[in-house]
Amino acid sequence: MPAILDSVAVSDDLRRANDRSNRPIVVVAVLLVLGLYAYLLTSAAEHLGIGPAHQLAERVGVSSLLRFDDNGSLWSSIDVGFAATFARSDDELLAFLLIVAAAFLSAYLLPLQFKQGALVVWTGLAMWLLYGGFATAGLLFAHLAAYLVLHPHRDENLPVSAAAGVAGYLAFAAGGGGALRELTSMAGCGAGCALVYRYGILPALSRPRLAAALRFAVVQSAVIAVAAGVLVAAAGGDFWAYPVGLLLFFWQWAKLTMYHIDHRDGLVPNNIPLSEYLAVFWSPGLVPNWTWDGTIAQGYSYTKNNFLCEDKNRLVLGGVKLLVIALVYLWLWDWGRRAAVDFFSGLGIPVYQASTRALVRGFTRGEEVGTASVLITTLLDLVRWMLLFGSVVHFKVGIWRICGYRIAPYYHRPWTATNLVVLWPRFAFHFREFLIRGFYYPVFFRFFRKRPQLRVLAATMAAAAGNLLFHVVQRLYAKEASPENVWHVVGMWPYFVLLGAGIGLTQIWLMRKKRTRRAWTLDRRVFNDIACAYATVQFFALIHIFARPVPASSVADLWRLFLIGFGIHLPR
Amino acid sequence: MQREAITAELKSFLEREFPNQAVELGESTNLLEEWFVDSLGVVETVLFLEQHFGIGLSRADVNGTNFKDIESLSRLVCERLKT
Repeated sequence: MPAILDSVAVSDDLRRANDRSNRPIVVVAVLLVLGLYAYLLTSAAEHLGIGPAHQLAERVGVSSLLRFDDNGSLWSSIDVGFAATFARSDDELLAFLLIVAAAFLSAYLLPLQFKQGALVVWTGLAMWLLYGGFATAGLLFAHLAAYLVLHPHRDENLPVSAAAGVAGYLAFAAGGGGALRELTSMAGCGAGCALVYRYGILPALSRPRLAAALRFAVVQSAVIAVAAGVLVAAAGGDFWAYPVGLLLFFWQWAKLTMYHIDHRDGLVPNNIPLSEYLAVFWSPGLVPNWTWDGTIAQGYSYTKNNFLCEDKNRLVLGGVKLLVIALVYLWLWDWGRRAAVDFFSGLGIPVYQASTRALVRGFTRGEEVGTASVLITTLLDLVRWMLLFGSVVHFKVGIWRICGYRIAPYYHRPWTATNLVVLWPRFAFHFREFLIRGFYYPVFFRFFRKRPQLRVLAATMAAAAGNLLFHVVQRLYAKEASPENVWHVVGMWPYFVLLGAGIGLTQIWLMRKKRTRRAWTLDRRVFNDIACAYATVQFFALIHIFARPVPASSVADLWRLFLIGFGIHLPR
Repeated sequence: MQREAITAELKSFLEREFPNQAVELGESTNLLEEWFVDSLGVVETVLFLEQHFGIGLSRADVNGTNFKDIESLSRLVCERLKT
């Protein structure tokens, strides 16, 4: 079970002690596993002129169990989303893995005071290599603006504000003239930004209400930008296209919100240097699969307190273990799906290639669907999705760990959860933390203080609303800021309501029930645990019917299909 | 209320509400890693602290420092009772 709350502050002396021993075997282990990733998942074999993964799999006799790309590398869900500088996604991943190796060596071997700074630099280099200079400048501009508003007391802020002006120019206005003109414009933007900050923003930040509004505007800029984009589109205007740099910043919305919560709770010193701020947001683990809500939504205190908080070799080997497990999941999901589909098809139970969406499509077309089909298809789809998701987030957390951060696994044996309250932190730990701190606690500590059960239920439903909001915002980034995309996610409301109500009612039930034993204690009640674990995962799988609509399906169709899972067949 | 009495009541609550045969609960047992089953444990403890000791807690009080062990929790209760 991952730690429930952020951990306790760690002194620099303890960090130095944890950083003391360099073990070559640990370095070799990391480089080997990264090399294995490069060989299996990227075009490395092609570049080196050696046989690709497909050839090796054929030799071992497992090629029929796996999926491969055209170049013979293993198909995988791990990628670098929206990257633009390489022609092939395999080359993007290869470039990224090389930078991860360099970042690891820096974090492992450099003196303590340079480690986090080096990780920021390597991340910047990865962004520049994968997304190009304009996008990197856009991301830097957005983070500099956030830093300047959240930390207005630093003496160094004027150069930072000038740098923000330069980055903003490079991101949004550069490329219009000769070198001299570009340099002059850049210098003008830098100087202009510094003046606006010194004489406009700094005085505004000294007034508490204005400062709070400015901080809110910066932290919630992602939501504000997409909301404005939707309103413009709804009024008949053009769809807004967001520059990739800003998109990358918007994607850190949950992380920035957590940083802001830490800031409001007094957990972030006002005078932290820029490098310390950037270390929270610019780390190699954030680069791959950023569209899989895997930004590790934790703020300053969690990130800072978990850096080298235990022996670095133990941390790194923990990361290697996660990277290896991710590889197993990457292989297992497709093999398991195909084996299960064959098995149930043999029994005469249609399972729609283990796809809930295909099940919904079939039912909407008028096919007769039985309870067993609904239960098994949704369960298989959830297991498939959990393994895919587990591989991606283990890969990300593994990278954080080899870079020296004790980041709790995002995903931790969800199939052992015996109720919905336990399932969530096991399935999406960091996202759950974001919902708890961002939505649950504000309601829990403000409303219904005299009525504990109502208090818990209201707080849980607030978290469910936060979950819906996150998915709306996420879809608007991934697709486009249009009213249709808002309604698409809002149309999934039964999923969010049923999940919230299920978790809320489970909490109330657990509060009333006397606990006499821990789950999975090996006694005669372990069979209850197995039944509860199945019921929990099956319920979670079933409600995904509402999250996998097809264009022709109405909410009423989805409810009918959901109820078939309980053996209730309503007329169409 | 004396610190020792607060500690004893906290220990009794935690043993009653979250029975754990694997670990013996002491004043310095790490509650977050060894005792609470899930985040609901933290929520239930907040409810207990507010109702039993009559103190008010805010979101910022729910952190790893205050909820680390019985000692840190009783320190928090003592501070709040004084104010």
